[in-house]
Amino acid sequence: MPVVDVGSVHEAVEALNADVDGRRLIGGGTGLMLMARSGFFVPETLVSLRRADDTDLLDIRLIGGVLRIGALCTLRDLELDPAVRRHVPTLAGVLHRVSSVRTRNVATIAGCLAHGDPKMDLPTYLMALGAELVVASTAGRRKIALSDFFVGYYETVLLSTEVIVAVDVPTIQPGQFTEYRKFTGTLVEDWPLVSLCLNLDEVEGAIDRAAVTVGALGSKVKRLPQLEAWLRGQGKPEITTASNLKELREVVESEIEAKDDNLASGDYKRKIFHVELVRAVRKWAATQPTEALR
Amino acid sequence: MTAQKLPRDWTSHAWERAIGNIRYTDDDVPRGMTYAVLVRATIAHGQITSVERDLAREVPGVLGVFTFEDLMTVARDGYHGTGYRDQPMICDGIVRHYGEPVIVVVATNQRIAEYAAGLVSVNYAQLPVVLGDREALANPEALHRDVEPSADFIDLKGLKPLANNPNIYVRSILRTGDFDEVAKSAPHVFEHQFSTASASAAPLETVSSYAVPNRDGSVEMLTQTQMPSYVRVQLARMFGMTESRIRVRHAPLGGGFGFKIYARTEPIVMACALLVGRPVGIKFSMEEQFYLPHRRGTTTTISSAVDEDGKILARRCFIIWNGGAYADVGPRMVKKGGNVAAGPYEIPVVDIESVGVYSNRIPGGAIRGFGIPQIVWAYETHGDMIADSLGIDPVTFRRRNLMKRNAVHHTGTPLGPCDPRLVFERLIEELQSRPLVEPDDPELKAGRGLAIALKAVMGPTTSTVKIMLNPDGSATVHCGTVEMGQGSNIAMAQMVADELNLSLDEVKVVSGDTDSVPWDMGTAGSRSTNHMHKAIAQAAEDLRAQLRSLSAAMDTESQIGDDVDPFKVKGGVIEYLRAGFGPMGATLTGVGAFTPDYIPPDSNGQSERITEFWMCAATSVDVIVDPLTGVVRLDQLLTISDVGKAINPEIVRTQLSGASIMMASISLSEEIKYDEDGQVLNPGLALYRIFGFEDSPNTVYADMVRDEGDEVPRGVGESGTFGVAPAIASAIHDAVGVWMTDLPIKPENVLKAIEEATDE
Amino acid sequence: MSESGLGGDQEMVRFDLNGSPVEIRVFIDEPLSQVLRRLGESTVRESCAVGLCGCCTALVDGKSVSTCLYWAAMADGTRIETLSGLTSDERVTALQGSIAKHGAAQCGYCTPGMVMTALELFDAGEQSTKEIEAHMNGNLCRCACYPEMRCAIKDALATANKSLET
Repeated sequence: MPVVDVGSVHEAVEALNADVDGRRLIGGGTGLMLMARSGFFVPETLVSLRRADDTDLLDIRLIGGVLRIGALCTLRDLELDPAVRRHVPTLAGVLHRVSSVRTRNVATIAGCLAHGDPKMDLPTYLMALGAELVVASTAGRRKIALSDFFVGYYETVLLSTEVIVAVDVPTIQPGQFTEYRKFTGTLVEDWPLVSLCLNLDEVEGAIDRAAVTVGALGSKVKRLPQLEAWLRGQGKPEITTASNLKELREVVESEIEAKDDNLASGDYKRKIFHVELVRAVRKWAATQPTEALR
Repeated sequence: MTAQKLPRDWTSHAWERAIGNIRYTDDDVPRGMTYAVLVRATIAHGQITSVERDLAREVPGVLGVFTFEDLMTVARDGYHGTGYRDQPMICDGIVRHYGEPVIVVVATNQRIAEYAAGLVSVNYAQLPVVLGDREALANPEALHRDVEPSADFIDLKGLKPLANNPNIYVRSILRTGDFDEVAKSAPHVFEHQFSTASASAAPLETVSSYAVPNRDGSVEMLTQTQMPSYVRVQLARMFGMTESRIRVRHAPLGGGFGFKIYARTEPIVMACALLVGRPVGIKFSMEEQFYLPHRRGTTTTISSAVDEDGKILARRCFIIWNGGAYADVGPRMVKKGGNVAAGPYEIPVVDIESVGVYSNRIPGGAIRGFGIPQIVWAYETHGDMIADSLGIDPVTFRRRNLMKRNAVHHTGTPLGPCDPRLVFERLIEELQSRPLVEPDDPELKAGRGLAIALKAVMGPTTSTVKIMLNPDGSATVHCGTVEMGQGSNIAMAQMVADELNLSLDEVKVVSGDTDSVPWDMGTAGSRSTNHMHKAIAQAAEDLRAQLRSLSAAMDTESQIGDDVDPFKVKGGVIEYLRAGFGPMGATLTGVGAFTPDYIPPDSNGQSERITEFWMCAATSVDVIVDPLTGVVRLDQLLTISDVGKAINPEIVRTQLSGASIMMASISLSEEIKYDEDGQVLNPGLALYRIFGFEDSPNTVYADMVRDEGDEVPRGVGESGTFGVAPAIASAIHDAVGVWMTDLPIKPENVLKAIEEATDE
Repeated sequence: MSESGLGGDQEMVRFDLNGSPVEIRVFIDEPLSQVLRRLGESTVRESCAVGLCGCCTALVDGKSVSTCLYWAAMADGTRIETLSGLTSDERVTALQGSIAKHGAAQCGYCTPGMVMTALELFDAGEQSTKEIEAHMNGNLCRCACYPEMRCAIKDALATANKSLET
């Protein structure tokens, strides 16, 4: 039976744990179909939650300072959702530039993250926000920080017997600044050659906490601790002085690894990362001190 | 709700497509179709040493797993090609490019064929791979031995690879004097080098062909082709069949762009159909299309001797055309490209050497523009670099040098009514009211550039047409021009309607079947409207003569002489037909044919009649450059072209615009990437990126010019491509002060050039 | 390509196609585009086969999708619409008329996909040219009808929005 429609997350976990080869949990299925069509991986059986009773899989709920997004929410649902626009406003903007509307109509947030593709936009963005995955398995439920989720190219720590149930995204607080930058090169719509996200907490004109992520450059999306350390304590507008920017450039040169490939040289990619980072930093530096950004 | 009726004007073309009314080739696949899938070479050059196909053959549903030798059991000649018969139906034992078809698997359905194809294994003894333009030129090993010229075309007669370098399959010379002599005493001599990469037409409707063998031994083809007549001739020749026993049908194409020309997949499916005795079809994926002949790369060295005022005294060009593994239409492109390599400029001494070389790239074929964009890239950018060095404004520079109507071209053929100055001045006029717009973001830099170019029409080639005058005076036209989005059906109908004094909806155009549609060389090279115009005029005259003689059976008052146009006599046609054939009348058939006069060039490339007509277009592009990343985006684009008489002006404008945007995409984004083993790294649209809505220029203005009283339509489909790339390069220079000399223009290279300029 | 493709397991799917019920066996890895074409839907066309060009667009439960990336096995219980089923839809007829008026179709291969993707814009109120382009960023046209298509969509939307106001 090629498609197993389970009635609940619990059943999905059981179906995936059964000693049967070639079973794969499917979200919207766009990423999976790309893999199947290129011969990379063709599942024998699809396990689908589309008929499950668990309504929270499609819910978007505010729980404390966190927006809990059901795993099966499509990217388009999120793009248009009022709760997202209110509590994580930049997410709608990032989603609007993800692929095309047709992909967003079908792709689910869980499927998107589980795919493990470093060129996608959401992982880079959500990791900088400190998002966490709520994951169900035979052992119950656990939370995985997105910062710990990606292992390598198309590889995550998620076991094939586990099911992402929700994505917890911290809501944007007053004084927080978020900027996702996606450099596509010549074409306006393309996979990023370089992508990054800057997420800052500002207290009295200075950076109290910084999260910086980089996507597309390596085999996985990751945080950049050296840059984060450098950013902490920087104030505005001083951060944009020539000497500060020179220092920032040095940290970028030290921390960013980029290989030559048939798209561009590693040097160029690193330069672009620097340009995009400075543009994000300048944007922050131009904002009013400690005002919540909507 | 009643069904929507199509309007009776030029908008019906777009209507039909918007309501999904067009049946493309794959929408009407003949019954009982079986499918062929190609096993492709995974090396770029080598000898096949062994093939293991037993596993594949054993798969239920597989009808055959064929090598070239197998296909040859039903063929007389396994080779085809426009200039040389050097291309085998599938690999003949020596692989010459990556992705070359090596084995054909035929099965009852596509899934089985694909599965079985995955079970075939082929072993190769590798041979050295040669990819680069200069590398190919210097390659001491001949990639082909003893190629035979195909002698199908007058302009390609007498083809022979160079004796001392057989990798040069054609060398074309155009010489009107000694460049070095002039350069010696010239105030300035400039030399620059330019290159272009391989690119693909990538039509959205991917290629397919279907062959149906009949019990009586005849064969029917349904194939995506711009050249049904040519396909029939080649298949007849290759399979030793009478032409009347081969029927080639085609549907409107979902994009042609020169990609679906000559013989491509047809010989393969025909051979398979004859072998298995059942209909066999093939449908390429988008990725697979990238292994078909496409736009070739070039390296051009161009030098100009110039006086103090920027008058060009002499120009020398050396162009290497990287032909890839098979010559295909390369010989023609090398010659024609060479012919116009000095540009539409009055230059007393011109010295052009244009060579086509074999390499292990995918074969170079034809794509919209037919080599001219690569040539213009060199001479227009070179011209702007000269103007810049001399401190002369690029508009003034061109005004000092541009040819005008009736000027004699460097080939010795007069331009006739084609007027580069008219085109240029119109562009300049339009630009006055469209100033460069500065971007809102102060970090970005705007710039404007322009270019102008000339092309000769493909020739000499023949168009014939048959007009059937129906008893009620309406007309059914059998015309071999292939509809592929350029609105040819409507244009042909309009021309017939004009000749026969009918309204558009009284004329039906029939194409797509060699059993009933007479010969046409092909829909390519911007030849169709012009050549069919003349053939239609002749067919109309034929009908007039017949109608006049029919009127002889009527009373004296009704008889008409040679001075009267029967189509203009009210109610005349019906009366003449009845007079001749009885109360119901009958069909009257008129035929017309047109083959341009042609004089082959002498050893210096000189001829008074090298082309039937010239085409000219000028393009201006505004760019917005991000100097920190090198990214180039497009704002305003203008293209003005001399198309002679525009049959449907609205459609002509969209053709000019579409061609320009396509070329902008190729210039900025498109490149077929090879690794050092000759493997194609980026087949398919996920990796080979083409322009979308947001990339095309913010505004496009396209229009035509012509002289009053110029009643002859000239080429439309390609001229929008000519000047786009150099206009972009000049605009980039205007914006950020750097010259780009290699296509595609990549952000990384722009940034590098900016940084190097800043360092200096 | 899995062995199951040779006659292994197939899934029976039932869906509504343009108002009529359909019951059909599909292979596990068959994309919806190929199933729809098997059913004679000629306005659904596979071109890039990676969801980038829009030629295969159909509506599934009212939303535009790239059918080349949609698992046919997952189409069970859905409501599918193609251009041929939307001939009375006012948004569709508005777009078609506008496309004709502006000459926004050349070879026509991408045109149904353009229409199907543009439908959602009608619910979005007034749209600037940039917003229209962003919405249509997944529809490619090799003939490069982009300038004419921008005008056509904008025109059709403007007419629709005006009639909403009256």
